[in-house]
Amino acid sequence: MIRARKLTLKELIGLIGDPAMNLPGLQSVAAKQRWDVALICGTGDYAASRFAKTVKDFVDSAEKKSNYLVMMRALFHAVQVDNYQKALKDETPVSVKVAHDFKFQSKTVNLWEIKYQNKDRVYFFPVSAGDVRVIFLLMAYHKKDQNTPNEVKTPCTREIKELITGMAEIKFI
Amino acid sequence: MAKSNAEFAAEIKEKAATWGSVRRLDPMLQLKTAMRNKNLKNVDIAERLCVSEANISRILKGRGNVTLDTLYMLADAVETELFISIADADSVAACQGGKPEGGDGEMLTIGDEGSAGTDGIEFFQSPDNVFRLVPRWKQAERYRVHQETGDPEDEALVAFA
Repeated sequence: MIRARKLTLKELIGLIGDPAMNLPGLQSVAAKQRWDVALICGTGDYAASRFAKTVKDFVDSAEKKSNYLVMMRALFHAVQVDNYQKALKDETPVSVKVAHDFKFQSKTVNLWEIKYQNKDRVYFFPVSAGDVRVIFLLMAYHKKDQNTPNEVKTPCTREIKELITGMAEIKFI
Repeated sequence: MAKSNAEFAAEIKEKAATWGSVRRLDPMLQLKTAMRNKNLKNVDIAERLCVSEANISRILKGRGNVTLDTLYMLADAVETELFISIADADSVAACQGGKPEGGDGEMLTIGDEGSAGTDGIEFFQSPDNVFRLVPRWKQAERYRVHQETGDPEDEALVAFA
């Protein structure tokens, strides 16, 4: 069974360690979301999830925090519509693209990335099954070169495989 | 011991470096949400403001630091109202239900009140002699937001409604 936790924008902002400020946008993002945003958290504590750890490791300066905040705010704007990828591209300063793909169970599976500025990225995997539509944030990262490094690909691929094989047993806590 | 102005200055500078981009982006995304609800496109806003669509696209993606005048014009173009408040969350909470119970800070709400059944600005004078001019419906809404966010410090809010 995969344990996951749906998060609010405020909770994601809180992961950068700054006092969570009252963004006026929190008012608008209280609007109905077409997609949920979640983290995989085995222990039940989302602050101890791998995503949270990567935020702590890679989002460690004012500039990186600023970029992370923009990406999260943009994501929570985009998930108000079905086609969140189009909304991200057309309505926000961030872009979204496939960072890596691999074959699994005879299908091509994509690892996606939200990108803002040259180096800061958030990797994610969208799961859409019936009424459940969740964007699983897998990792935050500050890139050092153009290619997606194995440091990202390996753990994200493993987590995506776990999500696909355990899709029927995702428990939101 | 109270913080010195120099300490405040350093803190404000650091906060601006971290939060500046998202502060600029946030009102624009609120406008985009309002545009979506009203089925307005960038080209409509550009034509209403007599500027290029590229310019509007750039502004609405939070690229740039728009003036208050521009923000009000954008709100007009989207047929919405801009509210700017400088408030203490405690005083907002205290004002819920139209019964101020002290607290510090002040709240100024700008904008016409037009919604049926929710219009009317109320003037409150708290024990600390701060007058508050807040429409009743805004109090309840702000209280809800502050309950969700839970930050007790003074802050500036920009919202479209």
